[in-house]
Amino acid sequence: MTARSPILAEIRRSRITQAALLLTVLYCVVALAGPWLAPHDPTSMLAMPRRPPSERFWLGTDEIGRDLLSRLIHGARVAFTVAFLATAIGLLGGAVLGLIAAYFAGYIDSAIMRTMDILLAFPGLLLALAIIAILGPGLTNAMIAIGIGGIPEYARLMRGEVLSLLGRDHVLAARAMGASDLRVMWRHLIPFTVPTMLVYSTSQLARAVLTEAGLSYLGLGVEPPTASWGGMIATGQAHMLTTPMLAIAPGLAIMGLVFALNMLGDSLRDALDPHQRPVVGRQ
Amino acid sequence: MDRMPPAAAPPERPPLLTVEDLRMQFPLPRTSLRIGPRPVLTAVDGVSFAIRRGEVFSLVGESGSGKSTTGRAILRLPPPTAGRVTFDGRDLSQVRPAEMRRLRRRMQMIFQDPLASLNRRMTVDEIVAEPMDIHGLAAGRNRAARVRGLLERVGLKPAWGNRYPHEFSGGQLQRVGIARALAVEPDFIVADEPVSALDVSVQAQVINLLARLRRELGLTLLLIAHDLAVVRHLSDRVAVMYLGRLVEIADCDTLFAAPRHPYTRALLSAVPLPDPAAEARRRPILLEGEIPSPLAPPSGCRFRTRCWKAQALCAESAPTLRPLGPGSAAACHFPEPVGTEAVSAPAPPQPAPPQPAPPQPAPP
Ligand SMILES: Nc1ncnc2c1ncn2[C@@H]1O[C@H](COP(=O)(O)OP(=O)(O)O)[C@@H](O)[C@H]1O
Ligand SMILES: [Mg+2]
Repeated sequence: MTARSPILAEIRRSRITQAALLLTVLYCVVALAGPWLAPHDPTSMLAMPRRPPSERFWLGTDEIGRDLLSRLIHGARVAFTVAFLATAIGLLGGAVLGLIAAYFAGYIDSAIMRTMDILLAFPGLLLALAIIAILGPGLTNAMIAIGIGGIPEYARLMRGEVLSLLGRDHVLAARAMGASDLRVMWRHLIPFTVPTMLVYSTSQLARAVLTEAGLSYLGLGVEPPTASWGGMIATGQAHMLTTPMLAIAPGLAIMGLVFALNMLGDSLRDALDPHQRPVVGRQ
Repeated sequence: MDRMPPAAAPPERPPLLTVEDLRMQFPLPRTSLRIGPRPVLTAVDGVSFAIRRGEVFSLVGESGSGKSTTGRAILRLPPPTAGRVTFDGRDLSQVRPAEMRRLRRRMQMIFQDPLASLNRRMTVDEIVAEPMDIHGLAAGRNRAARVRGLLERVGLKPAWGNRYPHEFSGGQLQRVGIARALAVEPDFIVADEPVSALDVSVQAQVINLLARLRRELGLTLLLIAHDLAVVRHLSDRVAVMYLGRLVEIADCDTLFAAPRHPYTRALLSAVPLPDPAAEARRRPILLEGEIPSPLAPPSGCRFRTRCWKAQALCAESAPTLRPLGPGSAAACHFPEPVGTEAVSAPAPPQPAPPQPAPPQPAPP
């Protein structure tokens, strides 16, 4: 980040940003400190099923008598792990492909971008489903599936950024000096793409959380008995009329996190939007 | 045409850089779904010249005449569409990419917009050291000392080295750009309008710096400018460019004293003169219209649509650059006589001058 961070300025300026940040940090703490925070073991049957909230079980117990609160807290870990790693896979894969496509142009560009177009033609969840159909269900595979699903958008974004940078004088200057392709990319292109890619990644985190929940809801993500919000909604919805808490609590958890991440993404974009910087004209 | 040294010139060494029939075309994106070939913009069209060692060779002309494109094509950024560039006896089109990167140590570039040409995420020290890093010229303490020496040489405080570009003024940034170009002790530098983005008060300082460095280091310079006043101080020879072609090449003094191409004369007439008496007599020649689009250049002589001397011949055949006297060559069917004073406007038009064909309209 350059000096006098625009991010800090945005945080200071906007109440909404502060709220989003606070909420995100809260979720992070819960996810990180989950094992210590959770009052009970999330996978042990400790009481009768579907007990109402009590002194011992703050949110009651689930359909087979496990502590709902502890499961929610552990679900945050799963959501964050999947979201971060999936986003990292999408970001790295997409950034590398987009960079190569833009830099080497020609056939390499066409080959990469046509492949991306094909991937983009699938709706996100459908692509993840297709990949899981190949890899099999499970936490790791869900992560990879969501990550790969994100690659095309990152690649497109990165390609556009790099193309606009390639015409800039400082890149021309690097080439004129005799810099190797790797040096041009690493020192004169990649650092300038960071703000845009970072902003987009933040908004992708929310999407990854939703996709993970969707996959787990369908039983294709995290495997039981490990707690995941999507899975909890799936099993809880059968008891919607008698014990609505079982589905509503994880639903609210997802909503809150997605909301916070989206707001944070928007604020970051407002703060960093590179397209709002003045362009120095020349003849 | 460039082999016209004064009579008493020392035995001639081969030029450091020769440019032969350089051409640069840019295919443009289709403007519609029409079938047929893509439109092609010819930015540089058959430019030839040679630069001797230690010489400052200037390229002047209006904006859009193809000066920057020429300078970049020489450095193969990007490589020209056609033509040959020979640097120190080597045809650059035959040099392999890896070898070309090594050769770049000897050819550097200074840019018009100093801020844009510097990586704003690097400190000045890093910027100046980068070419040395690339070519493995210095490391550790030696490297730091060299950076310090370079900053001093261009008139910057070495202590400023850990600052970022946005903390400097335009003139200071251009000094950083110059220090960077000097870092690898190049034989040849392309300076593309090195002062035109700077405040007028700062321009003179940077020009003086270039003049001093040239004296101290014996630099060979291709100096690009649209302002003749900038060129006059520094150049040994000047080439005037119009719409992708050279219209005149001459020794600097000859060009200023006796311009032979009407376009050169028009350019010169726009330069204010220091002598008040001469300035009072100066009558700028106002060229009519705009520089035509390089997508649809006029037939024959490209300047004819704005030339007060144009005849039917000018639309029919393109004049080639031909020697017109010692140290002077121009591409004109009706060159100005030697005695023409550069500062006066042409005689009023004759009653019925033959009208040149109307300028071709640019395609929609
Ligand atoms: N990369 C490019 N693609 C298309 N047209 C270009 C490109 N670079 C330059 N041109 C065109 O070539 C002509 C000459 O440009 P340039 O060399 O920048 O002129 P100058 O430096 O004399 O102002 C202009 O018409 C310009 O629009
Ligand atoms: Mg230019």
